[in-house]
Amino acid sequence: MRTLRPLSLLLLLGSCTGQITNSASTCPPPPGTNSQTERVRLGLAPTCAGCHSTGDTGYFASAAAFDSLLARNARLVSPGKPDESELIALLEGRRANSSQKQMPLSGDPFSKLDADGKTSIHLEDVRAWVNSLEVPGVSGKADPGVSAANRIDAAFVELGLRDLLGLTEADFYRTITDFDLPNLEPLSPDLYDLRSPDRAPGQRSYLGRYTALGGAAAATSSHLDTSISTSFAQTLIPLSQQWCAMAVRKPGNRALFTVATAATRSTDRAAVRAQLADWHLLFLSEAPTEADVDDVMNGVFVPLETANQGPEAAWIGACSYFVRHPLFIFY
Amino acid sequence: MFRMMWVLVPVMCLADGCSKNSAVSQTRQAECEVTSSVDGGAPEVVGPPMTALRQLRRMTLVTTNRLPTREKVNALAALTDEAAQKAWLADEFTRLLNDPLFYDSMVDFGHAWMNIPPVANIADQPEYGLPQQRAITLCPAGTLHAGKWASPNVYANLAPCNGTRYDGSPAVVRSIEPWWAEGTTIEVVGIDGDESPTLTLGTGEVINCSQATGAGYATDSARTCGCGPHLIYCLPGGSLQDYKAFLLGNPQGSRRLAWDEPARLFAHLVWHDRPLADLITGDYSVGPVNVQSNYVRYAGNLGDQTVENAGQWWRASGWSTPTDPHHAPTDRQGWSEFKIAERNPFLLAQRDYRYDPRSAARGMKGVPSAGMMTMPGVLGGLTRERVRGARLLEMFACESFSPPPPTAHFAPYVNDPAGGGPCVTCHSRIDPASIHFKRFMRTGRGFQMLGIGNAHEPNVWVTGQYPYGGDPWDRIRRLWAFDTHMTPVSAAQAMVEPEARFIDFLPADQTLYGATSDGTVGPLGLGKLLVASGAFDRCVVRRLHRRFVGRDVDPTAEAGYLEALVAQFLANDRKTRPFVQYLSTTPAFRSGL
Repeated sequence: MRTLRPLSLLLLLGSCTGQITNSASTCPPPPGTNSQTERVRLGLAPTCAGCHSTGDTGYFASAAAFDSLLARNARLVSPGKPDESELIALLEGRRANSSQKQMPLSGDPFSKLDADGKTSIHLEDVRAWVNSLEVPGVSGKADPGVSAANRIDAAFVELGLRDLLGLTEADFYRTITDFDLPNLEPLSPDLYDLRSPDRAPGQRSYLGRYTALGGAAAATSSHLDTSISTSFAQTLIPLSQQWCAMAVRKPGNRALFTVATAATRSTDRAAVRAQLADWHLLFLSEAPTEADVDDVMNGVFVPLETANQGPEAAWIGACSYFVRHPLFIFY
Repeated sequence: MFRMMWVLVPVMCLADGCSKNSAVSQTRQAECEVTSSVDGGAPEVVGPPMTALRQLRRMTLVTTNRLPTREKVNALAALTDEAAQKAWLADEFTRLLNDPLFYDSMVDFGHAWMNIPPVANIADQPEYGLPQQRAITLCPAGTLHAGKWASPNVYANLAPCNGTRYDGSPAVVRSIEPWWAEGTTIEVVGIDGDESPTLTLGTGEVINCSQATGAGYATDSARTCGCGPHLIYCLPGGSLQDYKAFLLGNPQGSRRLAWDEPARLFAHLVWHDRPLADLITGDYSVGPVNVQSNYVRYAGNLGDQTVENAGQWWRASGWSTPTDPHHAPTDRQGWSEFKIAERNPFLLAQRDYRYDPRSAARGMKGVPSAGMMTMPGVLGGLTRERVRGARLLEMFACESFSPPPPTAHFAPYVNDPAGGGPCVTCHSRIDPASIHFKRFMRTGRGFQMLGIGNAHEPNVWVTGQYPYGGDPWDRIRRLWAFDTHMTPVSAAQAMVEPEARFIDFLPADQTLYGATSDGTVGPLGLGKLLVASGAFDRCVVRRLHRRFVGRDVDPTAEAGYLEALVAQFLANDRKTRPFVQYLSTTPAFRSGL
């Protein structure tokens, strides 16, 4: 097995919710951040952060957000020119030709709140900050702290894994007639068939399984969820076992077996090892080392073969091992 | 040992919820250290980039929903030279982007992105409310005209099939080329075969048959229209009202096809290298004959029967416009491009049509077409104006509407959610968007464009007098309050012209995302605002980045990166393929697992 890239794994852990790892939100301000900028950010935050912490106007999500979205935003701030800055016009409630004439949007504008002693920073201090502001260009590079590792979603399992295993719709469904229309009916509820609710036909499938794997479907108003959820794990594990069993037992399945067959035993060590190496490359898109193959051979195949007095369970177990492998689940 | 780690990775996260003491916390500390040096020119990739084989896997997954084949994996694995691998991958990515499976995956992606529900039933199924044709079906065995076509009616009256009309006179049998099967002829028994677009009653009243043919209510009587020119008012079915048209599981069902249309237009724009802005500002859509019939029937329902009567729009043999990769341009089931105004003249081709009902005399020509935003399936799936506005902003401005914090200070709510109370947090954007959808309304007469064509109701609707007590009239009276952001009309103006409340453009004193409208009415006005403000481009780039790179771009953390990506997107004329190819060359694309 290759040496795991430790930092990649850490990043993977960091993105375990499937959401953006907004490192900046939990980080101290970058060294060298203008301290006056920081004072303005913290001073405005009690009044503004409630509505401006996410999305395109999430100025107060972090020091970096305030810096990049507001301080460097020429539409809102004109360095050295407070009277020409939209930010100041909004705070003073004098922005013209806009449905958003002031901030906060409703109630008294910031200038009035300031006059009433209800703000944490004076408007004059904000004006002074704009007047003295010098901003360098913002970085156009991706944040290196954000992991791009993503979990496969239900469509990749439905279509990608099915094809990879050499399975087809006919392995899961029989064609029936509903309302004079062709429809697909699962051959058995135990096959763990998987079909997007958006596909037609196929409305007799158990659609909840697709959702459990985080699949998006407009027909059921379900949204994409690539987090490592309990439902994902609890669905993929039995699904991998069942699908691999079907693929291993499928006669003449050349999509799966290129060197060995489902009857090949570990006594034919060369054939089994060659097949496992082939699967490693096919399932994980990573060339195996000798140690990788030994690991699957000795850690999965042989024990299952011994416990079940035959090779079939060993092949199913090895196949399932690759489906549940993080290099299969993530990309 | 390593195998155990794979099992533990998700378990650890699930178990401790990525708590402060977990490895995640340590990771974030490490990220902080890396992030802090960004402005100093930090590396863009943490750790070594993905191998060529793993890049192949990502490319194949995100473009086709499939995994790379054994042949592809082996071919790449055989290359040891880095430059050769890079060139091979570039070629393979280009091939993948031109594989019909890419089109298919973009249809799926389009549905996942826009997530528009199918049109709901408006009464008992299968009534779902779009211009749903009445069904005609084959006369059953044992009847005089077995094998010929006629419509069952609510009384299951088989009299036409047995050769008699309502008054006992013999039913006429006509040979007709139906709109759904160009080049063929069927025999139609009785009144269904009447191709007249109008019916004159004994009172002299002339009925527009396009409006008068409700599904399943045909009776062969003196007051009944036929199926119209080439049977355009009817659809071949198997039963009363035709359940098959309603079922989402029917690949050719009218309701499914209408639901599929926005995702198909998105895939079409991707596949044919069109600017993605056409999705919300374009004057064209795609669809098989069945989908195009929705537009044609919509116009007929509003009183313009010119397209219906011309009887040529369904002749796919004459089509030559771009279509999907699975059909020929002349295939009637292909998702072929068509000009919306040529199917529904009320969805205007004019791109800057302005009409202010507060001052103009009645006579609004229509509403400019606007890609997916004027699709019958979209407007029928999202039936209320504020829901449409909010969902569209989520789709194309990446909005995420959440309530304000309890400590936020607001002026008291009076009558305008976009002007006061905690509602203002979201409605300051929702209402300037929603105003553009006010004319598309489902009434007792079906889907209408209020104040357009024949969709003028007697002014008594403002009082709630029967039959104007229910939706949408009750909602309009309650929620389209005078002198608000979404209805900037005074009570005095509405007194003079009740339809002034239908105002559907953003007045010059309002903005959306800092952009001011040019006064274009209807959804196109919103589309222009989204594009002009930059909100559309930023959102589309985020969606494409999420799909192809594997993660979103957080504007609060990577504003500069997002702007750089937007610049690249614009440099490629908002076309998907070249932008995705650009993404595949970025370090971010190679920094997955």
